[in-house]
Amino acid sequence: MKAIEVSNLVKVYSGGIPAIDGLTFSVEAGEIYGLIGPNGAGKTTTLRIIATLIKPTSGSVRVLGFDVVEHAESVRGLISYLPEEAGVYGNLTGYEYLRFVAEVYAKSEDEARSMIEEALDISGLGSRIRDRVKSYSKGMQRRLQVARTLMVKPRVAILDEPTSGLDVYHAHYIRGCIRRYVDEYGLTVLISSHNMLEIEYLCDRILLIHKGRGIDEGPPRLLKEKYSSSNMEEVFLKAVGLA
Amino acid sequence: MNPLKALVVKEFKDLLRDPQILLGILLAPILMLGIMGSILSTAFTSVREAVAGRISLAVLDLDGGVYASYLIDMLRSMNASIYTVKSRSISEAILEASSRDLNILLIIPEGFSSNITIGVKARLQVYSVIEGFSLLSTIPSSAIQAYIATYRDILVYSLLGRVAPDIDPSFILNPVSLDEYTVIQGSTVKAPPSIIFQRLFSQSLMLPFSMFMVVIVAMQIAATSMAKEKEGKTLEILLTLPIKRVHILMGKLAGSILIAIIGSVSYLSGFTIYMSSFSLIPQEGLAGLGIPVEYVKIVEIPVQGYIVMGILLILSLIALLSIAIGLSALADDVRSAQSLLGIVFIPLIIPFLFTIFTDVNSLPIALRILVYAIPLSYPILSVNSILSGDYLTPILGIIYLAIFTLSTLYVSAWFFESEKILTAKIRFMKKPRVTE
Repeated sequence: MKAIEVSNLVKVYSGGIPAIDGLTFSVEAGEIYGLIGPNGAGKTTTLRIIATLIKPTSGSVRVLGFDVVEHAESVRGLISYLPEEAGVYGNLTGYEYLRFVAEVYAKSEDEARSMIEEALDISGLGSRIRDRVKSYSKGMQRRLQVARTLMVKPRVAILDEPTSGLDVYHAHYIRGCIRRYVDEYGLTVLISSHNMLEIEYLCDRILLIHKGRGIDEGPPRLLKEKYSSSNMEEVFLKAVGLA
Repeated sequence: MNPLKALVVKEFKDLLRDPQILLGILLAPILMLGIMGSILSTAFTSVREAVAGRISLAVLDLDGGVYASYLIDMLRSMNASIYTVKSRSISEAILEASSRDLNILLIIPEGFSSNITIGVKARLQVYSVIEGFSLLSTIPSSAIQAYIATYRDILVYSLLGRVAPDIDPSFILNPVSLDEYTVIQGSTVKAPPSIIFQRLFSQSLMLPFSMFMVVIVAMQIAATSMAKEKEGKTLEILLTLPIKRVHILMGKLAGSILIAIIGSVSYLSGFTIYMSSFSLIPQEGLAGLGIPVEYVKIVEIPVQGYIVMGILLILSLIALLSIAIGLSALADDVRSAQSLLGIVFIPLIIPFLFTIFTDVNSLPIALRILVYAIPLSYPILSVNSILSGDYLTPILGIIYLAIFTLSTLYVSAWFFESEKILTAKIRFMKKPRVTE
């Protein structure tokens, strides 16, 4: 069974603005799959539909066999979603926030505790975890969010710009964590990023999206060969006919 | 693990620590009203002490007759401290009194005693020296008035006893007395309705007022809590967690109600401190009107009355909070959510005003239907219904509110399931136009 199956997905927002125009792709279990495209290409809309936040105009999306519209609740039990602009409850401490999410996902107190320990490790927040989140820097807030997303060991992690706002050191560390979770726990990761280096480093396969349509798909290495390009930026520009 | 409990705890902590809610809703009422009340009670206490304390006055006796001596002796026997001025003119006497820190000058004019003896009205003069206009500055003159009134009564009794020894002087002074009775729910109470209303103030007005406060505060909190999720971009994550959407709604309802209860306790505590300060105002005249406590028991709300009111309050709270949460989910930020909520508050004030000023049953039928269509009408108006023994209206209210609340919850739950909860963006503050 595919981890994610998107077929003929169309999303037109109220006011007739088309965001996705017949997108089809699938993600294998245990794979890191990347969506690449400029702003407004439809990446975030696609992720939001898979995360059950918004409904498709037509077409179908399945997560581990569950339809995101008909079985939204079941899908939510399988996924963990990190939006690009993920807010945090500033009045809670980092620990309290993690505790809240852990209690929502965990079946037992032991499981909740081990989730929080994992998150402490990923976030690297140390003793600051007991401080109110509003006192955190943007980077610290992002690390807390990545930790929150991964600690529950979802079957499918949906990450929109996971390392946005992070410095080189922390971005590198977080990418390592994502890779480790896939290797150790068999997570499937769907990722959207503007950082081509990140995409090349992390993704097994990528999909190039332009104006709501899939342009090309494949492993980064093969795509570079196909378009005779040294990097993914060039691949994209050549694929959409701009270079 | 219980996701709903986790949600309620999260809501409670996040809201309780919000500076706007903590200061504006939880602390400000008790601090402001409490401080105002304390200041007033300090002022009133000092006034009361001044009244009860020993009064000092200066006396200029230009008469020197027997009735003047009676008056001075009586004042002394009533514990007044008297200084007899040496000056013989009024202006000098005032200066002399002031130099001894005496603010009251009583003048007994020449001929005072002879006038009383021959049956001509005698006059006394009192000069009060005040430094500013405050409640305290009026006290000495009021005290003197009370002394003089006592003197007058003694004089009347003594004169009447001389003229008509067979007649009871108190009959002459007050030949007709009025006994007022009020009939409530078939029971007769020996007191005028105004006094009963005063004694029942806590039930007939404070109870609806408390309910009104709980609902208004809870709605503001619920709206803030929802709008904060959107403004702070936490809603997107919350909606993808494996929690039933209706539980998210429930968590917000429970969190808001909990905070609102604390807020209302704070408000009512402050209000009670504020109101209790007024009970310290000296009310010698009113004291005689007090009615025995057992009369009030006749119109006390029975336990089942409180249960009915409780059910009505909870049902209308759930309905109105669902509306508040739904409305604020349409808004893009907290400020817009509060503005949207302001529109809902207008019809909510109506039943509250009717409780204070009129009887809803005396309204034309169309207006009555309108009032009874508003959920908050039931808990607020039920207080008077129950006080007058009418349980039918509150019970019909429970049925209506149950249907109304279920419908509201259903619509809110549907709204929470739809993507509109995330995409609706009503904003009241227009973004500034950028000119290129």
